[in-house]
Amino acid sequence: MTVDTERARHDQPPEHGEIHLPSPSAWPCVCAGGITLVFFGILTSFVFSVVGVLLIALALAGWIGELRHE
Amino acid sequence: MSTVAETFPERAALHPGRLTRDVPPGGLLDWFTTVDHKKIGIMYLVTSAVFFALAGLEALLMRIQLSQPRAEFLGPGAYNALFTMHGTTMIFLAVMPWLLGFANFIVPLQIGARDMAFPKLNALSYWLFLFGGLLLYFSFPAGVPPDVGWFAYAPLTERPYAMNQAVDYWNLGLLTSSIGTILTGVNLIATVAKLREPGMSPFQMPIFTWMSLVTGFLIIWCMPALTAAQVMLLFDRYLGADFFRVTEGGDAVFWQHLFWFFGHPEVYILALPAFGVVSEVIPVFSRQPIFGYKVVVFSGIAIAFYGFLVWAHHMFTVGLGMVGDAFFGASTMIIAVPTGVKIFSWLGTMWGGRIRFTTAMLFAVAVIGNFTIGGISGVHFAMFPIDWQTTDTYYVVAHFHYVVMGASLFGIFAATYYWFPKITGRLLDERLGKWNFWLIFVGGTLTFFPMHFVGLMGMPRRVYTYPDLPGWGSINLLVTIGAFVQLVGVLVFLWNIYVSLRRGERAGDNPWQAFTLEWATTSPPPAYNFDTLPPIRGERPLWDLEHPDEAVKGHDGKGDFKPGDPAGPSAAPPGRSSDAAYHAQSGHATARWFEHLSVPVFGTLTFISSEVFFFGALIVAYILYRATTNGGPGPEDLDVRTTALFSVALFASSGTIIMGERRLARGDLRGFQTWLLATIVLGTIFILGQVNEYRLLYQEGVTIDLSPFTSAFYTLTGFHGFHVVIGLVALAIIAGLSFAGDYRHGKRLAAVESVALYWHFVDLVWVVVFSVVYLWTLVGA
Repeated sequence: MTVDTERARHDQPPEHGEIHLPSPSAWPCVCAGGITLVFFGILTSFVFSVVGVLLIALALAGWIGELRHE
Repeated sequence: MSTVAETFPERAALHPGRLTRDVPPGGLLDWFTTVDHKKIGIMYLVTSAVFFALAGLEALLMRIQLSQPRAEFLGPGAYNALFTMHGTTMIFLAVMPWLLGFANFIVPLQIGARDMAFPKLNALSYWLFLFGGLLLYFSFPAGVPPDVGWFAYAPLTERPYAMNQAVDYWNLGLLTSSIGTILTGVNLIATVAKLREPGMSPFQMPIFTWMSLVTGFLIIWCMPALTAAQVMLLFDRYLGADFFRVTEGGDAVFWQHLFWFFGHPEVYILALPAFGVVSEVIPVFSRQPIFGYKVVVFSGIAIAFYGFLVWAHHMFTVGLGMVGDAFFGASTMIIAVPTGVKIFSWLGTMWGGRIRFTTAMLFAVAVIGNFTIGGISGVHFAMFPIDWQTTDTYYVVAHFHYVVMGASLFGIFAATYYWFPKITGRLLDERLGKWNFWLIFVGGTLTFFPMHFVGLMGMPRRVYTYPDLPGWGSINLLVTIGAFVQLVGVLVFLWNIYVSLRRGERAGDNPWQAFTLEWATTSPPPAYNFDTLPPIRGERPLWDLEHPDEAVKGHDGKGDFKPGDPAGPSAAPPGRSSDAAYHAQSGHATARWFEHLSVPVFGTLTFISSEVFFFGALIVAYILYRATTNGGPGPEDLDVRTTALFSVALFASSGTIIMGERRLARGDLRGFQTWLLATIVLGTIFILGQVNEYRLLYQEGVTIDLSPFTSAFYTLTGFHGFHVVIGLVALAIIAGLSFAGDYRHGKRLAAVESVALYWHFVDLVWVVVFSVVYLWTLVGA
């Protein structure tokens, strides 16, 4: 993602006239939801915290998967 | 005005022949998945405006209650909740993210970049801000809105005084959004440092970009102090720790130190971007370059630097002693110098200029006046005998509202009128804009200026009602009327946005004939931001483009520049334009050490510098409390020898990861994997050793709630252990990916380098922690 962004900026003119911008992703939103649920669980029930940790793990896995294919 | 492509046809070749990006999902889902800095910027702006409306509503309810003596519109509990939520919301969820929203949208455009350095991290930051705000506001339906003030002084926030969860909603809501804000700071710094148009030297960057950069540093270095304080408070409330429990030997004043170490730089986080806006708007509408470009830049840096040395002026009534009072009084007076310099720079820019009083300019000029008033009353507080008399009165409320409302919020209005055409493609209506300005200006003055008088008369802040003393009732009525005039002004503002979005005049690329790169593209800009970029020969590339001869003269001090204006000579010589640099990555003449770093490595280093402040706060807490054992076990009871043994494993792991990196650089993937696994094993040995130490200590009854010493010991070593675990997870991911075939042929090495750097940092922290916690006990033993 970031390397691509950097390449898009600096390696001008782009190869074959292409500029690759990072693709849309839902994982940042899911990850933030997970972090928030961890804290919400402290206030309410540990079940929310467990769900939060699982969401963070899921988001990181998805995020890294996207990084590898960009 | 000629376009960039017309003037420099060869640069039209930079037009992307084809844009590759996965097709974004349409509609609402697009906003959930976007990583485009412009869309995220708009999300920040809209969300901040909603929180601003909520905080404004809370203020109006308070003003209804205070409009007359002994009113019974609100009870004391409701009033406490309203002033807490008003302050917290305005600072953390409205003004700060509003300015960061503009930074998100505008900074990459101003430096000719295509996005932020870490677009997905940018999205994560936004969602953390939003969810943190929602968590804070969930306290209302939960029936426990926070009621301890925006700085939540201990020991009022401790269990015996705050039994319900109000404090916890405040604590955890802000903790969530603060993590996002720190990541935004890292992103801003990495973007400006690494993604700048190669032909743009630091002293050719627009002032708003400069101030956003400085704000980024303020954020990453001051916010960890708040985060650390909030973690301590959380542990006090949930684990029975004793950080701020006075009855158990804790120190309530320590909260104040940590909070204001964050809190005062926070004022500049709110002010500097607004100063950046003013420094963009005034030159454009005076048709002059900024007077004293470098002076404006360096005064911003000086404000940020001194901002870290003045925090205890919020604490003069604590009783710091004469030396403390004198130091913080003097440092506070010194900080008035660079802020005063900015005022003169803005006045100098307008002097002799062809001034156009657009709405943006009106708001910017009002910032100068308002900030002068707020700044002068700020200097009053530097004289601590005056502070002793006026503390916790409406004089303080008047002062900081002149700064945060009169400067920061007026700066936001100026920014909105100035950049709305760029963001939406349509101009805001100027006639409604004038109504907007005058209503806000008159309403704001009516609200906040009389507060000085009622404050000097002795009216305390944060009290839900007041007796009918001479003058108090009439002044308070005036203040309330002013607040409602502001409400009308805000409604006109919202109406203006609504009608302008529907049928506002088309803006074109550069409706203000402005100078900086964001105006060198369409309004709104395309997803990839720029087709072409003009050469950068000064801090006003678009003006230079329009006036090639004048620009050269200007650099000689004969044209539009003023004699002696440092802006001229600082401009790059024409030979070093962006044309050449744009085609050759090595074309950057002034190579700095960080320019050789990849973006992820630079970002990791920036984040590590933030972590230094977090651990710094925990280490200070440990040093403060190491002798406060309440007669129980102390540092000398720790097992230094065993800890030293498993510490060796951690120290050795820095060596093994270096070996792994060397193998990878040589293309020896198997060797890399072997050393990486060795690092993981050594890190795991350390963690197991620490877990065993905790187990033995707990068996002996040494628990976190025993004394301030045990609280500080477990928090410091525990957070270090938590960082080791995160490092181990990152190493395990790297190892897994390498076995899956990644990192062959030198690909994605930046990820390995970033994780290795983080691991070294975790080791280095343990060198300090081990010395302070364990080795110290051997001194004098």
